Amino acid sequence: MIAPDATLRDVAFTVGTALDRAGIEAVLCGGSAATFYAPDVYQSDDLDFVLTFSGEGEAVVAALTPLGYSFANGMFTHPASHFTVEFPKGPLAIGAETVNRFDTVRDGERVLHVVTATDVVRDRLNKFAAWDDFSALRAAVGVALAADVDLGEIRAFMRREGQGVFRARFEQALTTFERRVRERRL
Amino acid sequence: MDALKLFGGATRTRVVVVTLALRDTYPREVARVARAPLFSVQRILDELEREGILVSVLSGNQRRVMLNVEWLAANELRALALRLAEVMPDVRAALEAERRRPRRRGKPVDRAGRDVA
Repeated sequence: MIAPDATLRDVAFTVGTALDRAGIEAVLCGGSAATFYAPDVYQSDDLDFVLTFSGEGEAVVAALTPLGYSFANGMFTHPASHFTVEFPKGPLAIGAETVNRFDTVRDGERVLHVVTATDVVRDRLNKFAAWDDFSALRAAVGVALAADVDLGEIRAFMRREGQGVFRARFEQALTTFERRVRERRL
Repeated sequence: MDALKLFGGATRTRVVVVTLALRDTYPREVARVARAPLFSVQRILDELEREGILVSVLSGNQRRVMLNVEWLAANELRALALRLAEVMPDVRAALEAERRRPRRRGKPVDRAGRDVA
C-alpha cells in the first residue's frame, strides 16, 4: 500500500511491482527517474511510466485501483500521497532516438523497471540544451555524480543531437555538464 | 567571494550573465532571476541591444530578448556567461529554480506551486 510518508522511490517500487504482477511492462522515466537515482539533488512530484506495449490502459487501471489509486484527467492520484502517476504516450525516446533498454531493479520482493542512469543523464542534458532549463542540468549532474554513467555515450549522443544550427548550443551544454561533473559541483 | 563586476557593476554583471545564460527571455524573468530592479534590467537590456549583442521581438505585448546568434562573439560570450553562472551561487540557484522546458497540458504543479517534472 501507499503510506502518507512514502518517498518517490517507495511509490515507484509499489506501483512498478503491481504493474509487473499484472503482466504489464512499464518503465519509469523522465524527472521521476532522475529522482530515483539522485533523490537528494532533484525532486519530482510525479511518476511517469511508459508502457512498452500500448493499449494496456484498462489493465493499468485494474492493477493500480487495488493500491488506492483513482484515475481522472489523465493521471492517477492517491488520497494518501501527493505523488501522481502518469503514463505518457510512448515510445520511450530521448531527443530523436528511441530507447529500447532499461534496468530492472529489485528491492526484496519488489521490482521496478527504470531507464538507465546514462539515459536519464542523456534525457536531462538534452532538455537543458534544447530549452536552457538549468533544473534539468542540475538533475543531469546529480545523477552523473550519484550513479555509474557512460560519459562517452552521453558525449556521443549530444554530438549526434547537436547538428547544424544547434551545434554550439549542444556543445555548450555538454561542456557545462562535463565541467560540473569533473569538479563534482552540483 | 566578492560580487563580480566584470561587465561594469555587480547588478549589470548579474543581468548580463542571466540574460545570456537564459538566451531567450523577457525583462521580468531576468529581473526575477538576477534579483535586480526591472527598470535597471530594461536599461541594461536596451544597451545590450544597441551593441548588437541582443535582439528583441514583440510577442503580443511582451518584449522577448534573445542572444543575437549572428553577433560575432555570441557563442563565446554565452560560454563565458555559463561559466560565470557556476561561480555565482545565488544566480545558479535562481536559474535552477526556473522550469523552462515544456510541460504536458493538464500536468499538475508541485507543492511549491511549480510545475512538476
